[in-house]
Amino acid sequence: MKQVRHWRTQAGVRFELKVPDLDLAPGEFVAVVGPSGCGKSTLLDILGLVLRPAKADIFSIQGRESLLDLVGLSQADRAAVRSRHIGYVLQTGGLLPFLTVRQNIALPLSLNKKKQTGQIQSLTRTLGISEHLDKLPGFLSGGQRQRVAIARALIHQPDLVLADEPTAAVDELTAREIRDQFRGLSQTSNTTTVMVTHDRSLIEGQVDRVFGFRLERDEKGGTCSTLYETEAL
Amino acid sequence: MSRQNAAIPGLAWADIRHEWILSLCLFLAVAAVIGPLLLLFGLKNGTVETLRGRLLQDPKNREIRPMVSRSFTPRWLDDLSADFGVEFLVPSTRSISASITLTSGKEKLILEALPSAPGDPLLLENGAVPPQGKACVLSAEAARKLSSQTGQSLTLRVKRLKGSRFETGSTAITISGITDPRATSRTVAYFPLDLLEAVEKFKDGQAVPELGWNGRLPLAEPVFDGVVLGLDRPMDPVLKARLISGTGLSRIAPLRPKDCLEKLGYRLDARTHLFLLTTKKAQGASMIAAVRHRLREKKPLVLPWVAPIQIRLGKKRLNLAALPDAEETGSPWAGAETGNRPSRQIILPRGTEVTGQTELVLDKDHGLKFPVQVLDRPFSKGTWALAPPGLAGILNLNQRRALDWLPEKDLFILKRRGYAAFRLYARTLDQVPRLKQMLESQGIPVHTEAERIRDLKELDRHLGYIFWLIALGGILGGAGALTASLYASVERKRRDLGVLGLIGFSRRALLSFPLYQALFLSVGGLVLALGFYLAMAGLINHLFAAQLAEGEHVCRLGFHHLGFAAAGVVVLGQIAAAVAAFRVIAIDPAEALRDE
Repeated sequence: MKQVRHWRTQAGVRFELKVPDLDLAPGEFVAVVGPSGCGKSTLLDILGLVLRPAKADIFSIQGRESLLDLVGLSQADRAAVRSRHIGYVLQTGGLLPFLTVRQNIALPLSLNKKKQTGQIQSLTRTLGISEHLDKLPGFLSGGQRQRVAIARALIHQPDLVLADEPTAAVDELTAREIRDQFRGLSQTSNTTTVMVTHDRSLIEGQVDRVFGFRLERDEKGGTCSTLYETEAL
Repeated sequence: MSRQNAAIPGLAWADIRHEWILSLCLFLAVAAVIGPLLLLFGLKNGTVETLRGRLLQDPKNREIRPMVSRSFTPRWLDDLSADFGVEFLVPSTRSISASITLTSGKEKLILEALPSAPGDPLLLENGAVPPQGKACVLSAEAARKLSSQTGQSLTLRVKRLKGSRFETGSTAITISGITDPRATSRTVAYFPLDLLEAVEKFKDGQAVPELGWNGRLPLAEPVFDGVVLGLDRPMDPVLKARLISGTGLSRIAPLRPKDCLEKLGYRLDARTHLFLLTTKKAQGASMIAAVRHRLREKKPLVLPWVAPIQIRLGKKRLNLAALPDAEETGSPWAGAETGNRPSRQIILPRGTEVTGQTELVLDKDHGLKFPVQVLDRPFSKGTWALAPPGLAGILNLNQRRALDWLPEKDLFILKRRGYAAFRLYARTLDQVPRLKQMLESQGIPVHTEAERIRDLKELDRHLGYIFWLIALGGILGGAGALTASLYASVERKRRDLGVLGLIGFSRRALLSFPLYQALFLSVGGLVLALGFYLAMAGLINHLFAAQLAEGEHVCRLGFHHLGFAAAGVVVLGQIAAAVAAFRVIAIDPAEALRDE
């Protein structure tokens, strides 16, 4: 990603997010840290093609030949790109309560032509949730739900997985287990992972790169947040 | 259909199943609106259709009765019968002649006799076959009073007053059928028309030989269009006035002897002064007698005259005139005509190749044919056929009214002029008002069930208004409830729909999510409503079964009604869902991230 800028005005206060050149390698496990309100979720929205940045140069996925004009993409095109190349892991899983674990995991596959034979079984076995495939999410613990979410994010072998505080709702021990499983699977599947977290201890020595935000105020009272890479913790 | 569009119905159904309690409530909410509406419409439709069916089936409602008695000629009745809106028509005798007595053993009943004929819908649709020959169909009330049954023999008695004493005619008849009580509550019997005509003839003093009833015959009397008058001296104005006044004659024209052959058909030069006195309207023999009486002192020649009449003898067409039986005319009849029996003899111009016994036919007017004797000689001097004045007068009468020739008595009798009334049934209910209007425009006031038919149509219309008002309220309520429920459902599922958007479902695919849910809820509610309607309709029809004929229902909906109802519910559900779908447009996948 090159030179992306996004700004919004909320309650009369202008917020601007500047994202410099962001070159992520396949299989890389990247953390984004920062205080509340610095633009972490907005960054995920832009990376996940949910938000259309006000100004952007080009966007490429893992150096593939197809370059996307972030500003010019239609809603339907962005949805199509998401369904093929991007996976999500949300804070509390983001599972659909009316589908079983198996159906939740298979959902991205239903949008792609990829076959699921054996994939769900092996992935859930790795994550330790294979015995819960026919249960509804409501019958799972927080940790189990997050593992299901990770399985759903990875099942269609996306190029990029975006994780927004994936361990925020679980205890420390489970959080570390989930992080380790997540990282292992990302590397195995050669998927780039961007994980937003505010828990620095969780990522300490466990991620390839760390990004933070530099906040500046302008003379009109607005805020400008610039993403920058810090040294790995 | 794209893969994501194909996945949406399954997701929508999975959500309905997951929230089954809420979904069941919505099914019941839809059914609670649609079910009573189906039942209400079924009741309205069934009741009105049953009443309408009864109206249509019951011939009484298609009957058109004349309110006045007048002479309806056979030709007028034939024309009316040929009207496309008329299903059945039978002439009727005078009501005063229609009172008869039927006796069965010791039971005796005076009742009204009505005519019938093959195809009589009142009888056919009320369990009886129209009578033929010496048979009758009794109304249920008449049969009850006579304690009679089908196949039983009765005695029909008819009375007439002749002078100061009563005469009775009677004959045995068979009961060929008894109508259902719904046909009529009156005490009546239905007879073939010819039997009723015989009764009427007897009451009029005439004989009915076929039933052995004595009486006079309605003999035809000759009528003449004028007289030929021969005098020995000119006619003075006073005489002219006397001849025109009170004799029926209206015009006097002098007749020259050389013109006689052309104007009369025969030569006449017996007197010095000849006149042709003509009438405006043909008169009987009394006119001749009146003229003779007024000229009795002048020794006049008074001969009857008829205007030429076209006849057919075999294939030969000729004009026929009267050749009076008088010395001056040289007629060959020589007193052949006696009393009321005209001589059936004619003479023809020379060269006419018809001789001996042949059939004389009158094609025009009322038609009449009978055998005549063509005399060998003399020949007619002119171009016309000549007949005795009695026969010519009868033929002249036939131009004015129908006659019949009785071969066994060699007499000409009068046929009936017309009928006093008729029994008429329209082909359909809708034809009744038209026929009523048509008859009333001819000055014939009639009674129909038009008011009752109109009342039923108005009832149907008013029930329709009430139904649609109730239905509108129900539909608005149901649509509102469904809209609110689906809208609330979408609001509850904002996060889930956002997640689906994040995963890659397009907004267009997500829009169909509430539409599919509305479809499933509508169909489910409809199935429940249909079950409710069928159960309740069955129960209602069962409760009223005793009052219903076969095939009748108090509560009934046709397949097309149910089809319209199903389509209406689905369309309304989709409209309601469309409101909710608009809400889906506003859902951004980013909300899924923010809500976490």
